[in-house]
Amino acid sequence: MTDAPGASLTGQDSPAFPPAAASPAALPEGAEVPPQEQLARYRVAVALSPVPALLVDSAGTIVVTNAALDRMFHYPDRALVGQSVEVLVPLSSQHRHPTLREAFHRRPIRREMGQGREVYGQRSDGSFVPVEIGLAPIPLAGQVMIFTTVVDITERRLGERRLREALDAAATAMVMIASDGTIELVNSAACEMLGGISADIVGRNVDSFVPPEHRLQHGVYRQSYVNAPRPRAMTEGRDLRVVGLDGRETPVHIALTPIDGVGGQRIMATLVDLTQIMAQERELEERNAHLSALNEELTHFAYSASHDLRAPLATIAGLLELCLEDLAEGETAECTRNISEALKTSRRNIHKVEQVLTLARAGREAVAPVPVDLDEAVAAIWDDLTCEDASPKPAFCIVSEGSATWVTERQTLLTAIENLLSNACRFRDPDKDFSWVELRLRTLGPSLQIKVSDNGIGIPEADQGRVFEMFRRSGKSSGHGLGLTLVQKHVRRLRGTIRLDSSPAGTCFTLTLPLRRPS
Amino acid sequence: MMIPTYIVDDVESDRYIARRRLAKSGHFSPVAEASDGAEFLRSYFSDDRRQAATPSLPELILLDINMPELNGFETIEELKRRRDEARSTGQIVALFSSSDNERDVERSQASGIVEHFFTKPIDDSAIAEILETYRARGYL
Repeated sequence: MTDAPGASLTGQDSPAFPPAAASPAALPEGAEVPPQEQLARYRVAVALSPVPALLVDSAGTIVVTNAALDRMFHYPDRALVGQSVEVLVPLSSQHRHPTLREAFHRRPIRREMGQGREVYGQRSDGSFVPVEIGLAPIPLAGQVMIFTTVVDITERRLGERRLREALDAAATAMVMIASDGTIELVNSAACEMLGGISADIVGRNVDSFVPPEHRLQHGVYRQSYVNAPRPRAMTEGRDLRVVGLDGRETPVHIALTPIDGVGGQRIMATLVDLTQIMAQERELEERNAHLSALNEELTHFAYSASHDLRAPLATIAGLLELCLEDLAEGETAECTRNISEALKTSRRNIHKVEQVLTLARAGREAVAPVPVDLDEAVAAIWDDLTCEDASPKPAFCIVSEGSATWVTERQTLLTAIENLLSNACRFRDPDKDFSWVELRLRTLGPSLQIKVSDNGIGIPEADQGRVFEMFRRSGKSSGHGLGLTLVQKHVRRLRGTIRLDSSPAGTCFTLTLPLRRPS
Repeated sequence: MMIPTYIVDDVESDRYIARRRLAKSGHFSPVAEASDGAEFLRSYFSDDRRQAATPSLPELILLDINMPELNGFETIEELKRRRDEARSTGQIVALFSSSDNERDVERSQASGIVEHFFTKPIDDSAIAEILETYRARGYL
């Protein structure tokens, strides 16, 4: 609540009204009219005014009121006459009102009171009424009286508030801008986006909410828009962002609508926060990429399976065909040899089929993450590993920065590590004096990095790009070419990445996994 | 006259089966073997072979598709790139695969030098078909 109604008024309704020493030229045609007559005419004019009005003398005393004003302030007819105009001013402003009134009196010009501020009057019962006050100085009866009109703007205020509430209820941020770029109005969604209350934002230039690197251009774009305004989206393929008072950036879509209304041209900018939409788009893209990867994996699986699962059956069939022919010719020795070869092939491939099934099943069931002490678990895996030809295992060490306990899907991660360690063990380099394998755990930002390195024979550069392919195996390997495929699948399941570095000096697989430590 | 032949396959039993089928027909000699594409290319482009006299009959190369290191297709590309046109006139390349996957059949046709595509196991009819090609060209 700020200022009070009623400014300085002059005159009094009483017979003690000062004698008319006023200039006779107060009213153009009133030159001849005696001061008392002039006052009487004003009295009639005030009484007839449909607008609540009063006359106040230079001392601030109410001289005349009309019935509409009395009603508005809840006073009996003419009860205000003779009272100080300050009775109509809210208590909080009463003390400074006389000073303001006197200042106006020294420079009396026709104007509205309390411009830009909310002005309230106080009724006889102490309640407030929002008002708009017009002041007009009138030289009358030897002094300057102030003809004052008081309009109750309660209804208008309610209307404004309803509009405001409607704007604030909108989910989109709305910013009304004058043609020079000054912000004139913001709704609460805009306040939230721009990081301040309305009072902080209104009055600023809209350019100050544009990221610094685009501010200069924005001024130019804005001017072009003002020159040829039409409703349109501002985005036009660019990624728009606004910077709030708190420095927070928000990706937005902005629609511009010119308003040709009272007080000239304005632009209504409607801003839609894209943060969530963009997050959803990103998620969708990730999901798409994941699905494409799955699809590719499936195609590859079908292709590889058609080759690699049929191959041993074809071998067995070929051998058995020969057996039949050998039998017919009584070549039992050759026949026996071929039957045992066929058996060997089928036995070996029972294991292969099992591995393929493990691979196909990997990552299908949900597994609850648990804290795993990798130090202990990896040591146990290493102890259980045996080299095929019963030769001594390479030297092994685990290096861990800080605690080695991480929360993860235990079996998924351990199977991946087991396969890597098993490879490191199998592909050791017999030409090197000393074979070693090292597993190193490192915290890397929000991730766990696991490096499995060895000084084995290394992977030829030409093969490095294909080691993760299904059934891809080294010529020096007796395996089925499924181990690294499974490792990669498990790492993907844990939303991690795997990298290979290899040279004749040795091989290093680096796993980066978004894991957390136990809380 | 005999057809000099290469068997390129990583599975020992499959090489054995091929060897037996070729031997049975009695038209193939000498028969060399390699357990993968790289080994085959090494021996094929070895100095010894280069210096030897051009064979009396065009060579036959039996290739498996799925092999570690260089697979059948990669081996063919290398062969195309490096072989001596004069020495390889009439040469016949036959692919043997455990699968008749369409993609593989198309790829072998696109290679321009594969004349036969058989699914394993190699049997007498496959060998007969190869011999037919030789005869159609006026050999044998």
